[in-house]
Amino acid sequence: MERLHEVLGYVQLVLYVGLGLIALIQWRRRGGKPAGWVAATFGALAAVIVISEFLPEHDRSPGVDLVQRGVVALLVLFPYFLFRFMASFESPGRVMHALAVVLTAAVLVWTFLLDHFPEQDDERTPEVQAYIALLLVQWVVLLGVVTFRLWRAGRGQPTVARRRMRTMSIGSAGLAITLVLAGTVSASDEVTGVQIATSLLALATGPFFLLGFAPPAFVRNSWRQQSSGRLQEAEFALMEALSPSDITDVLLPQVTELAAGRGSLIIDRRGAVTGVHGLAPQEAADLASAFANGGAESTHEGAGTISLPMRSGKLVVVTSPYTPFFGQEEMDELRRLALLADLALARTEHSRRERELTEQLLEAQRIARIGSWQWDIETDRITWSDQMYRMLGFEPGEFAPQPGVYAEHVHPEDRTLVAAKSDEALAHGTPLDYEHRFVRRDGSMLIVHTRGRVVRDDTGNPVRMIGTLQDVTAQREQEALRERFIANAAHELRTPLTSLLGFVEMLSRARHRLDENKLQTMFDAMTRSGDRLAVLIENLLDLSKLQAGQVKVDIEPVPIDVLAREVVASTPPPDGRHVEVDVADTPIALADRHRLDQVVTNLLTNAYRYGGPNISLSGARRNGDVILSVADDGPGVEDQLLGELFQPFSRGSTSSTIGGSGLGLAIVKMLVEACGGEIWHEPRQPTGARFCVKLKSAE
Amino acid sequence: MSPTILVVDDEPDLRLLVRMTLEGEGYTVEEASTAAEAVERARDVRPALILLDIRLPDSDGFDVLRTLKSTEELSDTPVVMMSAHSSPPTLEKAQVIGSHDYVVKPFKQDALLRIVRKHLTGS
Repeated sequence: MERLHEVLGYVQLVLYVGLGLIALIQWRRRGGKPAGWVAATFGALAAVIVISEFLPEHDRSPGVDLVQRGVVALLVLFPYFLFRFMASFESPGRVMHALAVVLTAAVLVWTFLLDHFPEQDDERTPEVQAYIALLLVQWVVLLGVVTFRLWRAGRGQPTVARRRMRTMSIGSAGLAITLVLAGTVSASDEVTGVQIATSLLALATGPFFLLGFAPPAFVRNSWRQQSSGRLQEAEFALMEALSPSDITDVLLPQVTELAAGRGSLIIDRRGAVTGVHGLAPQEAADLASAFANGGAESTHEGAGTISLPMRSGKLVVVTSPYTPFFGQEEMDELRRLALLADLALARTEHSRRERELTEQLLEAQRIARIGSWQWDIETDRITWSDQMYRMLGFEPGEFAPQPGVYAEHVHPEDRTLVAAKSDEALAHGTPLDYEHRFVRRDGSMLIVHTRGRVVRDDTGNPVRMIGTLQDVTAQREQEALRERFIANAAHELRTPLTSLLGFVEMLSRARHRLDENKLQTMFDAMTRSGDRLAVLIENLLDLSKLQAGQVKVDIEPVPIDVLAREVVASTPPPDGRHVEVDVADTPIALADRHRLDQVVTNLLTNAYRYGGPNISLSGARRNGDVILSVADDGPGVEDQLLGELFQPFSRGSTSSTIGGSGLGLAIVKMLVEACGGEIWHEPRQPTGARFCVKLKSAE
Repeated sequence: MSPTILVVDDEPDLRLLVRMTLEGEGYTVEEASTAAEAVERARDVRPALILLDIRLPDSDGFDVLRTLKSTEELSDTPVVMMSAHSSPPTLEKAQVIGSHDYVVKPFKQDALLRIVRKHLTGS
């Protein structure tokens, strides 16, 4: 019995000194109030046990007595420290606090005032008995409070934290019981069963405390096992997340559950909330503004809010005050999740940018009408961009382009060229840069500018060919149109110039041989040619200004009846022609007054020149628009002209005898369009032409 | 009897110029202003030479040239094309069909007369 008691004493010594050291080391490493109180608690306990071990027995000297009282004082402080540790998470209330302080102070004072400090085998005086009773009350009350509160707070905590809190709770209960047992046992030299039990209990509580504030890794791991499966799922989900909202959807519920908190939120670098879980919007906004500043990790133990810095902002978890201290494991996991979320966010940002770039590229290709292609020479695999398909008349991705499909659609006359250029590029590395024709699926022709090059590997072997195909059909057609226009203009200018120069030459060489009649004929012809050149040049300038958009229009309400009468008055019909003005309901059109005057004058002059004897100029309202028309009962427009009536230099077969530049209707059309209107021609029955101008009504 | 020359052009002033130029040298001049009229007049007057404008209102000079060449009694008549388009493809095309020569507008009177003389003495 004696021996067992002694051995247990040594084990107890080692255990509590170890606990004290661990507590001190943890405090040094982590800092913070709770760790400080734990260090104080177990430091005090270790000191008590060490000093008691070396205190000489049966020595009644005053020094030894004082040390003994000091040891007891430390023992008195132990439950108070533990109480303060618990109170650092959650205040137990002012009354409780006051009670703890008063009780502890009372016992402390009494410890030093006690007249005769009892030895183990001394008879206990009533004073000593009262003192021991008060000490027991202090221990039991404080440890009881700690036990109760830790146990209760463990409810709703994450697994590891809960178990740590509960083992600590059991530990403090065990110590309370130990002391009660030790205090009530009667003093005797005999080592009794109760003494052994007391030692065993004291020994047993040690591991509980150890597990509580510093559980070894294997214990933590075994406690954690059930939650790690879900954690892994969350990690996978984070890795697969495609958008920032996916990430917050996965991360926030997981961290909230992990920390057994009420909710969590992510704030970005500017302090804006980017994701919330379990919190009201107002609370989230308040937290965001509270945590927006300051980059470091902070745990507000009193408030129970954890803020973890992320590269993209901050992760804030609202949890219980105990979690940061007891939930070390969970905190580590939170940090890991935050890191993973950061990586996932960076990845989604990266892929978003990539997607945007691709979209931009495709959009740019669509707008610029450029398709791109790539031919992997080794695998003989060809890829086309969406626009490439569209340009050639297919749906994007309609088929995987096979070698040869391109050549098939090259215009038959250009196939040799295309083959030669490709061969040259492959053989000599000549970049592709030329135009050729292409036949689209619907048979229409496309003129494309192809640019490309051969990509070679380190040894110079061609690996692939890449290139673009730009649809230049519109440009080439425009150029052809312009060339035709210039050729036409030159032709039209040369015709009167030829007769003018011819007659001048004739006059200068043979005027003495010409009679008066002939001279007059020649002068008349020269005047006509000169006039025609003047009109032509003026019209060409007008047209060029209109095409360049340099003609400004001043849109105003124009009463059609007034305009019609004015035009007829200023351009009266020649002999044999009759104009009837028929304007009903005095319509008012929105147009540039002078331009509209020019339009109507031109149409009227055309009618005088090409039309029949009866001409009508009419204006009317129709469906909210104003329709102005000039009609005649002449031969009408020749069939071959109908398609290009409003094109420059399209002229009827009689025009050369009648005069005119061939630009009149082209100019009229542009003027009408500049006023926001439309012009068209409709044949009349049985014969004749009608030109209609539709303008917006001013009413 | 002075040789008859048929001038085909839709421009009245140009026909007048050519007429006065040629008449001053003693040629007889006949006129036509459209393609249809040109073939008809050629059949009627059997000219020694035809001056044919390429651009005509109802058809073009090439068509007239083809018709003339395929008409038996006119297939040997020399045809000189007149054009304000001096581009080589146009002139080549006319030569392939069977024109003897061409005059580019605007032209000097000497140039016109030289060509006319060349083809008249040749026939």
